[in-house]
Amino acid sequence: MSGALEHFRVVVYHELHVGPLDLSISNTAIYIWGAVALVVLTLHLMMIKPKLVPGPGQLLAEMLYSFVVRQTELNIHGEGEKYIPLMFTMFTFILGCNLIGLIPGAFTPTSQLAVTGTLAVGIFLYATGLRFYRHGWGFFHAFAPRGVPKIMLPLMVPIELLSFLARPVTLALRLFANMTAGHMAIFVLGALGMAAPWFLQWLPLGFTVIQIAMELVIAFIQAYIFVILSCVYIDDALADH
Amino acid sequence: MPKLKHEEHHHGHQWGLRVGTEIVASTMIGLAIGFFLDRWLDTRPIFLVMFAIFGLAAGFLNLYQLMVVDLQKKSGVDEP
Repeated sequence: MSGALEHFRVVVYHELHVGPLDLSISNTAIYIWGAVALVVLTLHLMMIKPKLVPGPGQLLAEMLYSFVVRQTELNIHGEGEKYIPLMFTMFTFILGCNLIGLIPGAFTPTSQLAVTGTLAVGIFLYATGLRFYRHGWGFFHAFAPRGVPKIMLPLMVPIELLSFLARPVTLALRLFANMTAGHMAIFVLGALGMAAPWFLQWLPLGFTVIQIAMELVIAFIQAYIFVILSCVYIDDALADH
Repeated sequence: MPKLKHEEHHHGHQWGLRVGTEIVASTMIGLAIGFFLDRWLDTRPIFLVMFAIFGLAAGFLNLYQLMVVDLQKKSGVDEP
């Protein structure tokens, strides 16, 4: 089964160290650049000649944008407008990274825990900083839920604290696990198809097609869930406890 | 507490994975904190066991809150 994991291997093409920073150019970095270029070019081409009555490309781009706007305003109560650029950038970036991996032979940047972890920790630190900025020391009230008897506090505070600390881990794990599992399933089905006798090959190979279609849907859903949860965390930081 | 949004319920496997990651991540964090506290204070395995239980409890707490939100959505009651 080592073959199934082969296409998740990070390959460094050019070693680059700046002080303590490792800025080596690996396949992850190259495919992230590819995903960014794909998103920027596609959106630019879609909106190259905007019209009052939009064509199919412009309509699709506007639908994507208004979808993110709606979700952001729905989940960040009152101040959602400020976060639309961040959420749209994050949504299209994750979507681009997920989709670029579906090209045969390509590498999926979001199948690396380092990539999803960086995104998740970034959002978590921002939301925590925002909560501290807004509520000061009242930040810690969130760990002692109202109405809990004082005798229960030594038990509830660590549980609430752990539940809070688990946020970036769940955020990173979900995206990483979905992308990795999907690609492994495609590989295993493909390998089964190639190994099967000729009169049975249609079965696993047919499932590969279905799995790729599912992967397309999952690429959208995962980008959506990541953005929604980021909105929920930011909203949680802004809300009073 | 991260709330599960309505659209997420349309996909059963997503819901299952969400529940799974919630428990696994909380337990992992608990274990990690317990492990490092034990190493620091040289008290192995007191904090490891304690925080593993806390982590599991935090996972179930998250799960319970998800279920409450889910039930409220289904019965049409607004979230608290």
